[in-house]
Amino acid sequence: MRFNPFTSHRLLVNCIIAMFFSACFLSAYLGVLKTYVDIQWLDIMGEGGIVLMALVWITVLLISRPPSKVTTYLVIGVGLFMFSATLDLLDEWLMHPAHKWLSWIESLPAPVGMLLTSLGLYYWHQEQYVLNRQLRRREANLREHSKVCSVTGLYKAQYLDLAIKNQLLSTQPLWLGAIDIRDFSHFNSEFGFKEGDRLLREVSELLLMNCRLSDVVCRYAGDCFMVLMPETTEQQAKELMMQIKGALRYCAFKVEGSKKAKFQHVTTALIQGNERNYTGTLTSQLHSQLQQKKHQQKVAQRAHLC
Amino acid sequence: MHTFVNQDDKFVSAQGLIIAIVELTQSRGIELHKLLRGTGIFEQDLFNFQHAFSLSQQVRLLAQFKLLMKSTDSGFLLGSQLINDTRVEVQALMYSADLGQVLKQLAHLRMQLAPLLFSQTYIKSGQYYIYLQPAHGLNEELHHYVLEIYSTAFYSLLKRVSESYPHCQFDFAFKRPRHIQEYEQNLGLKISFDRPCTRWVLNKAMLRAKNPCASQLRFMQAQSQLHNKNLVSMTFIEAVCRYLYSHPSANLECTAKHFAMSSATFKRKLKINGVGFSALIDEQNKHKAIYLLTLRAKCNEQVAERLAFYDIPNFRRAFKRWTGLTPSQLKTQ
Repeated sequence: MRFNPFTSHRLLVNCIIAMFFSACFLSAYLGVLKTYVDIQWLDIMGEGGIVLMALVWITVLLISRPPSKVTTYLVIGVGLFMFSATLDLLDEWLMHPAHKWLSWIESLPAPVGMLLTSLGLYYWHQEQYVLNRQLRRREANLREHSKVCSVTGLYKAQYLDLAIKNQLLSTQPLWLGAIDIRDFSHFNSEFGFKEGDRLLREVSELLLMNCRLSDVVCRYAGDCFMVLMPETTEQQAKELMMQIKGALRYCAFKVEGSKKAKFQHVTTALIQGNERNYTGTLTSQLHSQLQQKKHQQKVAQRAHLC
Repeated sequence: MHTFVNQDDKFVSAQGLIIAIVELTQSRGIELHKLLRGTGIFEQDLFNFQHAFSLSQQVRLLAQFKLLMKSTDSGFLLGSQLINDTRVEVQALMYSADLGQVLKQLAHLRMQLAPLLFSQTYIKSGQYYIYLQPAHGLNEELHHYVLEIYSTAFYSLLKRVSESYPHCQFDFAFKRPRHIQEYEQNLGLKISFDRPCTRWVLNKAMLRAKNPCASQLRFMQAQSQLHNKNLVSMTFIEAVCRYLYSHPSANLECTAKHFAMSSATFKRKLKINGVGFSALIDEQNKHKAIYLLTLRAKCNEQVAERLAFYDIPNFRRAFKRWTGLTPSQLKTQ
């Protein structure tokens, strides 16, 4: 989600604009133009770059963060720094008389701005700590925002491969479980993709709820989810899969426009990850195991019917 | 003389691929005007049910769809949606008596169902081979995407019309993609990449397997409705490919003559459709050579002679250029 600075940060935007123009106004009002030969173009480029970058940072902050204490401190801090830098830049064109208070105005805001930014970063650290706790069970010790699935908000298969590699390096015993919704394509064709996507989202929430804090849930492909279970015994892993199966069986999903609730049945598979059998793609090994299991189930189902 | 379909001839109905694309993008919250931007399709065309679309419009829509959906599973979603179509062509498939009849119908109605690909089928030692080639000038990325879509559609169709779990081998000519997990999830267990050409392989015994939703009466009804429809035969590219396949020694002049055109017109027409003549010749010779070497078990001399090469080293060199393998390597594979 992106924020529109002009609606969600109106006060901050006004503040920054005021700072910028007051800096311009101050130095224009008090200064006298230099002659052409006195102008140092290299300095202008360097200092102009600093002002420009500070403005870019402010814009990025305003677009990407919701209104909060952290945002205010960071933006005002960088804003003050930008104010000093702008005065510094305009110095190159305009000669200033030696007012004591003017040199104060030029040099004081920058350190104050830095202090405020540091304070903002401290609060950001605290905020991040809270957010990381919220993201537990969704990510391992690795963050790759480009690998998040846009439908469910879980990480995708490539992330899982990376996370497994990292886990295996630390030589912990780990188990990987796969969960596949039975006949999901039928669900999609019966109720449409919108409801199908919603089902995937709800199922992912349910999976997160059923996992332990140290587990990581990912969406492998389509209707297949995988759970990474570090430091787990086979018994524990099996139990967790059973619990997930049970939870989904009794989850009465309400399809929009349909009176009856839909219950989901899942197929699960498990594989142990250790360095011996790890040949690049533990996930696809597990997936083919899952497919075979699905196949056997279909055969058994048909035999039962006949 | 047949009239062949060119890329701007309007014959594709909105039913099927185009409607599936529109529905999918709408369920993901993508606005219609964004989807149609630059495709040459207008919103009112979609609501005018008599309106027909051209292949190039369809391809541009597909490219725009791929761009906007962003996710790697969009082609697979689209493919699995294609068999839920309600038009009479799809019904003819669904109510066929067995898989053999389904495939026969599929070959017959290919221009209505999957106009971007064409196929050649062979039966050899209990296996049924379907070799696929693009029937329209597509760039490489889009060609892979089209194969994703129609492979998924084909596999979903197999699952729908066969009672037992369908085993189908998918060979792709391109290298293993990064989103391999989507292939595994949607196309079953037998998938391989980096093959000399794209093909689907079925067990011949499967063709006689009964279709659980077969209905003779409905099938006949669909047939009679199709009978009244004016079906187009093939695209111009496909016609040229098929001609070159059966005439390996044909050059530009005699091919142009076969299609009753001057060489310049012929070349211009190929260019409009997005392909070059020498690329077509290479592609057809490659397919012919692979067919002769693997399915007919011919030796290098015979194949070189059939493809009108002067000597064996020349043929071996050309074959290596087409497939990255020597003929003997292909045979041992």
